[in-house]
Amino acid sequence: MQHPADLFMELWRRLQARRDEVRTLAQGLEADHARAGRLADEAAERLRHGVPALEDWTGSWLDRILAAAQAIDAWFAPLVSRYDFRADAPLPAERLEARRRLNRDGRFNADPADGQLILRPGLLARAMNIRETAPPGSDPDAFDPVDLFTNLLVVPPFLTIGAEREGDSERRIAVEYRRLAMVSDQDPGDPAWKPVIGVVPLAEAEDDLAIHQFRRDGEDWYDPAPRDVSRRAADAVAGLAARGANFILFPEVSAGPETVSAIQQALRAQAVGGPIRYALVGVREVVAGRPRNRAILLDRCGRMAGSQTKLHCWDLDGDQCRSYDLRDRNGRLLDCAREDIGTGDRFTLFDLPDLGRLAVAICEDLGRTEPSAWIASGMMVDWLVTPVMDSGLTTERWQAKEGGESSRAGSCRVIVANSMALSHRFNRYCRTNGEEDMVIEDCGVALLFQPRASQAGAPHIACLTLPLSDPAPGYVCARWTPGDWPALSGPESEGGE
Amino acid sequence: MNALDLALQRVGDDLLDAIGRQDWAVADAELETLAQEAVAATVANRRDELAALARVAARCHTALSLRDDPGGEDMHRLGQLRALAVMIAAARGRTPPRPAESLAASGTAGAAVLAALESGPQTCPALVEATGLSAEQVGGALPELRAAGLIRSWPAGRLTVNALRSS
Repeated sequence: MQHPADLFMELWRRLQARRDEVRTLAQGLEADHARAGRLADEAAERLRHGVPALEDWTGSWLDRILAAAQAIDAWFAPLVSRYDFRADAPLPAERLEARRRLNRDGRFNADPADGQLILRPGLLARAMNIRETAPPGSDPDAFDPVDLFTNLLVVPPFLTIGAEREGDSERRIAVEYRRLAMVSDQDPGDPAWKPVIGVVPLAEAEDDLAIHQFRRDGEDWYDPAPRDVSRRAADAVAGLAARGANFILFPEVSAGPETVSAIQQALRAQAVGGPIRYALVGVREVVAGRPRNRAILLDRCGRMAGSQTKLHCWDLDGDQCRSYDLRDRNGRLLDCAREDIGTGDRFTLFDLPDLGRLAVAICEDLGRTEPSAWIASGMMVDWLVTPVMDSGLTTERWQAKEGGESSRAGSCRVIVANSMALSHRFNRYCRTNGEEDMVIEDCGVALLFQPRASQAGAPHIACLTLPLSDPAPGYVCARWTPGDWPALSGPESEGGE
Repeated sequence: MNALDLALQRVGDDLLDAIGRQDWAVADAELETLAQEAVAATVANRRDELAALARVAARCHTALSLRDDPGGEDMHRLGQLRALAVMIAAARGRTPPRPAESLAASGTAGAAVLAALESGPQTCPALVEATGLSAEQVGGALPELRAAGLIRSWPAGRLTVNALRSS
């Protein structure tokens, strides 16, 4: 039995190979709905008779290739829809096989070398692609063949991303869609669901996140080392559980092994009756002698469910070294400092019961072209979470700019989680240089972005802060109610650094 | 927490107690009760009951999975709880569309979309313009109208065209 998913992959390859012709064809069909309807009807009728019938009909005509691929995409619609279809469903055995493959292999296609064919909807099973709401022909260069399909998306096996460091060559990383099968009690696609998000900065004082500097190969390097704050972390988890938090976040490199262990135990303590379903913890680990900057995903019981390793280094220039008061052992301000980490070689999309689709972009990874551009293009995630280590978040700085871009694209919800340690360094720099007006008092530790639903709308943003002088209770939390949040101003009014 | 929530929670507590004292007959009876309630709630599409059942199944599964050194009989019930939870989750992920008369009731987004389509097939953004509704409202109404068989949709390039099923 040839499966519709495997024919789709074949058709997708042919469409990719003739991208310019496909763009012209698509624009023609967008202007001629009757012709598009005739093609769609014919392709659907062939598919009713089986995959070979559709394949035979397709031949090498580009309009039929597209129509056949879109007919298969439409055949998958019942697997996406929250609603049961009343119409009869053709090819029931193939539909059963589709479910089997997705549950068993995490993809509809048979050959893993092609990547993973998955259901496309993100943003909690979106019903309309924001790019449809743009005025027709408003940006002819914005054609993306992904948008020819509403129900299916091809996750490529590899993605080319930027160099680890300036001067290095581009790299190829593996891309993986991971569907976690867990017992759940929350349907993330429920429109009435308003989860509570908690952020625990953990590193509250400067010493909580020491920045070690050293010289190697004639260059300055830095290596953040979190202090053991196990008790603080456990108290925060318990406090957030009492506040009804469902998803809690700890910033970039905020936890060492002891602290992670305390977080796991605290999660386990609330697992049976508590509300927390997942925690994402920014950790510093040492793997094969090299530090790794990672975010680990813990389930409600504190068990490791997955991880994402930082893909790009954050090398600091002279201005940044001054801002964070980074000095060598002689007290000299550094001109530049390289991040001493081994970077990751894999990007993972997590599909989580109780939460939805999650992508993690650690600090610098959010601002780099890939995988951010691929996520925005595919529009297949619900949550993009960025743990950072920076001075206080505001609605004007780079994190807000990057999160705002994603929100304006209508792609997904974005959360940025930050610690507080670098804000003390930043304040010292400000005071030394007479820039008292820049001193941070209320430290931004979380930014929450709700994407806009149409080109005519605006994203909404919430900035959660803690006083730098007294950060009790050591966490912030907010229910996801973007209707109560201010609208994010347009890109022309944004600053950044 | 309403009376049914409390009653379901009691079933869950009693199930865990029975497993704890290795009274497998009682444990299986409690599991059967949960399964029967789950099927009844699914067939009648009682969403609140399904949500309450999901919470009980997840709570019991979590509690049992955290037990130290579980035996074969414990693992057997753990598997049954998992199967029950999976079935409840599948039921919660599906909703029968409302009857046509509800979807077309005056003043609803569905009625506005159906009225707009009487003049002929339209894309989603055209429907937003024609109805005066937000993109979110139109996007929220279309999937249920499609599932109910009131409208049919087809792709036109990157756009989706919608039409009344009868047209």
